Amino acid sequence: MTAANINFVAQRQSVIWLLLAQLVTLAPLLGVLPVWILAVWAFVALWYWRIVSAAWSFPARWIKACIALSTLGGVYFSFPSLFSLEAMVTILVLAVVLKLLELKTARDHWLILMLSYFIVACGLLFSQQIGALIMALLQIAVLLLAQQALQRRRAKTLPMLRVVGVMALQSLPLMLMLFVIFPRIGPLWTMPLPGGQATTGMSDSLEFGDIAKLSQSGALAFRVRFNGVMPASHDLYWRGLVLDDFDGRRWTRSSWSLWSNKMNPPVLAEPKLNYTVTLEPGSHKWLYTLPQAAVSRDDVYYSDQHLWLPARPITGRMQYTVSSNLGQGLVDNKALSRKNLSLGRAANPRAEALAAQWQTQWPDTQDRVAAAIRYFEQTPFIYTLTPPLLGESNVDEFLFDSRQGFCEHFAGSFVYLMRAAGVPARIVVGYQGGEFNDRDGYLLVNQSDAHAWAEVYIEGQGWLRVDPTATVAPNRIRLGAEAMLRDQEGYLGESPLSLRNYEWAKRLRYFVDNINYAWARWILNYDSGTQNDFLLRVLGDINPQRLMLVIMLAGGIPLCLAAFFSLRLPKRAGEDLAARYYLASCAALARKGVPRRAGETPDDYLRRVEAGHACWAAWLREQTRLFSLCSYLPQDSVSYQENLTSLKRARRPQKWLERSTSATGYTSK
Amino acid sequence: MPSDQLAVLAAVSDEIGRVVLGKDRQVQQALCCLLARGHLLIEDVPGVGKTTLSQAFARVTGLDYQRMQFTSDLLPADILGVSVFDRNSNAFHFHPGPIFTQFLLVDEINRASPKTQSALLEAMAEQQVSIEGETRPLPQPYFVMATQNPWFQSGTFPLPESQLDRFLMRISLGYPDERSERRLLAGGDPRAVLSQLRALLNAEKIIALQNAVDAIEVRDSVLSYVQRLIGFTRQDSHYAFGLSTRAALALIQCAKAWAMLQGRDYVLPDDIQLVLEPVAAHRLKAAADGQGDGPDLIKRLLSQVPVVV
Repeated sequence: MTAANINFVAQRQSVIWLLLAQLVTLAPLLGVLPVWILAVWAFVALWYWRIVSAAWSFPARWIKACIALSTLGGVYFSFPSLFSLEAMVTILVLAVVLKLLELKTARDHWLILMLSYFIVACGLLFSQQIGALIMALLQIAVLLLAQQALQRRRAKTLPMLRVVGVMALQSLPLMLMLFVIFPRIGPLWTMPLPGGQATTGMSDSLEFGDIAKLSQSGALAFRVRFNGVMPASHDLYWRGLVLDDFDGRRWTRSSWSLWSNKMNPPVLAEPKLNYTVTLEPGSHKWLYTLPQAAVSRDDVYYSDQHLWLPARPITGRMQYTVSSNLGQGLVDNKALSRKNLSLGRAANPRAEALAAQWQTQWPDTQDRVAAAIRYFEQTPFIYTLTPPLLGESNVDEFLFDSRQGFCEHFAGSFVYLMRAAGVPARIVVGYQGGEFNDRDGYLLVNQSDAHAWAEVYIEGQGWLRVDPTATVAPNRIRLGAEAMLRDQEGYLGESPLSLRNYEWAKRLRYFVDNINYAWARWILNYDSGTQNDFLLRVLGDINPQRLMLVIMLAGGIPLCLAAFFSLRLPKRAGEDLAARYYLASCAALARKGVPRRAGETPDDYLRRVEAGHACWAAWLREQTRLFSLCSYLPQDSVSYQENLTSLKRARRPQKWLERSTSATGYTSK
Repeated sequence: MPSDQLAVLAAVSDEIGRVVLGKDRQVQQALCCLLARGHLLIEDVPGVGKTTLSQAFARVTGLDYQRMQFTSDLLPADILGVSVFDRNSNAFHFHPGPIFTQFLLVDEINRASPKTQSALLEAMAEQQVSIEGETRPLPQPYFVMATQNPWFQSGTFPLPESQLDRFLMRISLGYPDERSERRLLAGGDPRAVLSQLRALLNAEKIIALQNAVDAIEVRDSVLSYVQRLIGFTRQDSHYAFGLSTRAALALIQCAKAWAMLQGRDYVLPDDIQLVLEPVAAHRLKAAADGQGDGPDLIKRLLSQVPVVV
């Protein structure tokens, strides 16, 4: 097999565009694909280039087999499982890249470009942010250019770009229509969606140091839009999950509560606070709400821990509307579990001694709680992101030795002390506060706002929130995590946006987030429910006939327009613009009663008009002069356009007369 | 175009006008034909000044001049020349005929037999003569001016179409108008003035002028008008046959020369229209009797074909 076997003329331009298209297709996926893919591409591209330059020949069959097998082996070793989305996409990309070594016909060329479209679509599986969409559109533009370069004899970029623009405009109505009415089918099977394990977020267990780690991330957790006045920052305790199972070191959700834990939704008293929460994409196992809350959604239920949980984990972006009454207590309607007093296998003798002292001193549970709060107020604790590591008796070591900790240390120790003192207590994990984006008036809750606090059970009042962190570091609650921790090493250490100190950077961040939020609200959240509402509102009734009509209009209008512009009648032979405008002038004068005969030359006509119809003579003289300049005199490209424009502008004698008489300084020649 | 050339051309017209009274237009047309490197056919009844015009023309242009009177017994050798045996050198020597000149006046061309007429063909078309297997070039510039009597007069052989096509233009003088005729009658024999005419041009000047004609600009819009004209003659049922491509070329060349005579360096449709009759009338024939002769056909052409589309 030699280069001479290439039975299509691989034009240099089309090859360059093809390689460029491949690179552009690959580049945005490099975060997902193993990096060595780029090396494979460079190698194959170089080989193909040498083939096209007739320097090398196509590889033999066994060489191709070796390359394919070794790259497949590379995929096998690069990913934990071959049946993950990332690995699948990598294999597809490899197939498209290696196809270059078999690219012999224009059809192969075409195939590669078509598969590249598919890869671009695959890219949207990994991110659906507006940035990803813009990137995909740019990629498609390059692919369209490459397709044109294959077909055109001379690949000039500008005319090709014009075609791309026209195609984009033509497909826009159809695209919008399909977005609006294409049925949103639920997932037929669960895709192993990427990043489920890697994104930062709450886990369903807590150990000292977990939240401190989380707060180093600058990622967004969710956004909240309030209908009405936003409560003060120190009231914004976003309850996520309750950890009541303690094994002595690690707090987890009580395992038994995972089943038969449903409870009737609370009846909220006025005044209600209404707001909408939009969770960032991920796998959602719980909903964040302010206590006491009612969520209006079919696929979630209310648990006996006063939490809203999805019946089945919801993946992707999630949005829900909540009504809350911040003053309403969390009253259980069934017997309290003994779990809430368990200390597990922990051995913290000093803490237990302190708790026992409180238990004997204060018979009333409320007093014991107050004593504990007082204890946290009076002891010189230090609120820090980087507390020292603690040993086996971590509560003791924290309370009496290191006294440096983050919210989970305070909450954990507090709950431990309370349980030891016989007060039912548990840890609540969630977010506290948030960042108000005043550009568009919504609240941004970041991972750095992650927080843990305690709830104690007081007979008759239900679960009461106690936040020991608020007593140790009141600014954390009052001003938010950012203000409190800004100067601490490690806070937002992972985030590239350490520019938070600057006002302009903040503005910019809010602006970008506005766009993302709007994108999420209006585009990504357009699910079957919103679609139904929207179509009902627009069409009045959803039936196949109306949907078909809309689709046909959307597809038909651009087609009709394209047909209209391409099916113009052929020009008359020899028609040029100057002649058209001159004839228009003649026709205008014919309407004034002086028609030009077909066989009459412009000069003859002018002489006749000068002799018999002097009032039009000046105008016709000018038009004749311009027409002769355009049509008969030696061509001067500079003045041709000017003359043509003047000829066109003055083709109505009446207007010309009005203009020239009103214009100052005009003298009739 | 240089203004001195223009002035010379104007002076030439004036000079000839001293002898040929009241025929300015025909003088211009003849001059135009010369500038366009063509040959001229003058058709009219005897005695209206055909020969006078040609003689005046020959003098003013300053070219070598030969005049031949065609008769029915004229033979081709009389025109082209003959090889005569020279006993001294023991060889044939060619004695060139009157055709070897720069300005050839053929009087009453249609009195000669077609055989003799055709002897002119090669000379006029290719500016060369082949005799006894040898090709001899003609002097430059080469200009044939022929006169003919109308076909209805006695003793005439109609010129074959091929011969007619060789003439770039055919003009007729017509009777002079009253005032000119009176001046003629009062002034005596114009041939007396003929000898006083000055030679304003010479061969080099004429060749320079002919080259200047080639530089005249013809834009697409004029070319398409010419194509519409010849296309019309090919499609319209009034014409026995359409104009040839050579006719179209002739039309453009004449229009260029005409534009130059008007002092323009570009061709207007008006130029085409003005030279259309002398260039095309003798090449057109009505499809049927009673549809008019050349001038009527030209008039139809001019009125029917749109100038601007």
